[in-house]
Amino acid sequence: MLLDIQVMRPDDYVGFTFFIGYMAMFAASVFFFFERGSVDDKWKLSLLISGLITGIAAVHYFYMRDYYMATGDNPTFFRYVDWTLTVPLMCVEFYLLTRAAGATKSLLWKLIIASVWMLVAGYIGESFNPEGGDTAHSVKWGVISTIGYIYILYAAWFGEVAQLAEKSNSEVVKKGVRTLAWFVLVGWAIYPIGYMCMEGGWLSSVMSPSDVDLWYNIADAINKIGFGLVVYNIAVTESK
Amino acid sequence: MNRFTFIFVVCIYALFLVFQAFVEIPLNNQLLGASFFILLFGIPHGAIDHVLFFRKRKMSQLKFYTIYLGLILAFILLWFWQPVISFVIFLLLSAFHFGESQLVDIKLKLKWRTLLFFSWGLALLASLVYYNIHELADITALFQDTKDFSVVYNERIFFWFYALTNAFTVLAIGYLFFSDLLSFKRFSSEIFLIGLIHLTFYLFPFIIGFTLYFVILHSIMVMNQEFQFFKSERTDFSVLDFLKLLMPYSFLSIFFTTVLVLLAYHGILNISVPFLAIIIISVITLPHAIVMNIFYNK
Repeated sequence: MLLDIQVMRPDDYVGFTFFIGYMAMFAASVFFFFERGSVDDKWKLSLLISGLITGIAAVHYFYMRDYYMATGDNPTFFRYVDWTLTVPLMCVEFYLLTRAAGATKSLLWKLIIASVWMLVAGYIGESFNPEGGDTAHSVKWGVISTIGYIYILYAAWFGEVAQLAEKSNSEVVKKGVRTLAWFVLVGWAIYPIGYMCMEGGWLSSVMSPSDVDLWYNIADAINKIGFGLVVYNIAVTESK
Repeated sequence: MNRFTFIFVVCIYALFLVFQAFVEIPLNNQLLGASFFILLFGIPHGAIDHVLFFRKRKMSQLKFYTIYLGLILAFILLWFWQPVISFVIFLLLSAFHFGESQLVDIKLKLKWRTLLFFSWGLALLASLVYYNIHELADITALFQDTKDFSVVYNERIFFWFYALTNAFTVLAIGYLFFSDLLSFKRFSSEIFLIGLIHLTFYLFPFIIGFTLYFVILHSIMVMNQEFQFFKSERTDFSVLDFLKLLMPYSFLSIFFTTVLVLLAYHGILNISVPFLAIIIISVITLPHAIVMNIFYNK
């Protein structure tokens, strides 16, 4: 596909991170798909999911990059479409890692529902916020979204996921799940912070929406590729 | 992350949403909310000092209460004689107590433990003041009897105090990790907690930031340590037993504190409410910190 050539300023860090993000996600997908062949069968699905997460993100980053270059606006719509597909898949990773220790389908569905709940509420709160910002609207949907996030956070640190990891008799799985829980705690924190930086938001004076895009891009790359690498490490170590 | 940090994180998110809704919360409302939670959790965490003390040391009840109440009285007198010195003593004492309750399980020689506890607590207090120094100076200047403390709020001095204490604390924790005195899990939790506390103090107003820390990461955590101690003595010791133990002295303390605050609020006592609150908290902290030091070390 031929694109109109867009001029990019050297100090356009948001544009820069869109390009870097796209290539990094794409490269990570290729890596995870190829590495599927080097792990035991029981870990192949985990690596496929890791590859899908970064692959879906790469496609969205491709669109977001162009959208940003053409309009200079935040590609909020594409972001949420990307997150609505990739975040539940990250939750699927928790299920796959703890399946051997007895994780049930109900855990899988609870995590998927919580993540979709969190993202759909976040999308309504952010995208349908009237011009100038409507506090009641953003708070209402912010509360609803946060409930989903807190559930996932609890499950990963103390709830079913954490307990299953403890029961797994595998130090690698225990450490891996703990590392993924850190991603949920620290890495995912950028998203509610970004939510509060929207027009009229509490932190809008601290960070402008364009700055938020910069942090979203960096956080997305770290969270998605990092998540996949942790899973890859578990798969490779357990396959030896 | 332990369960207390989790509660702390949940409260931060809840407050994010409160601030998203209101942007600013008036000082009076902040004080009201903070007082409620400090009375509800802060007072009970020190309400069984006598029980803990007699579990660890032998002493006659008369002698214990004479010393305990004598210390409180002496500190009250010092407050009226030398308020600035009393304030500094209170800060140092609090710093040590906060550090000790957080890092008590780390095995070190006494002098290094003491240094680490002081450093952790001083870093905490220095950060709290440094991030909110202008707000704090404004609050202090609001009342006649707290104006004297304004001399303490020198931004330049506090910057260095903040930077040095934090750098030392983080380096010390790093050193403990590299010397195998701290597991990676604990090391990462401690560093994360320090980051989280900084974020809280930076984002929220002084009163809310301090209350969040004091209630969740100090009072509730210390109550858990106390509960676990009783549980180790008696396996059938329940949460209800613990609450029964806490209640009588908590109610007494809350009652008298409320009476004093109301007397000050209605001008019957010639003292401002914030100044009275600082005095009450500090005079309770002095014997409490000593008892807890004995509790942790025996």
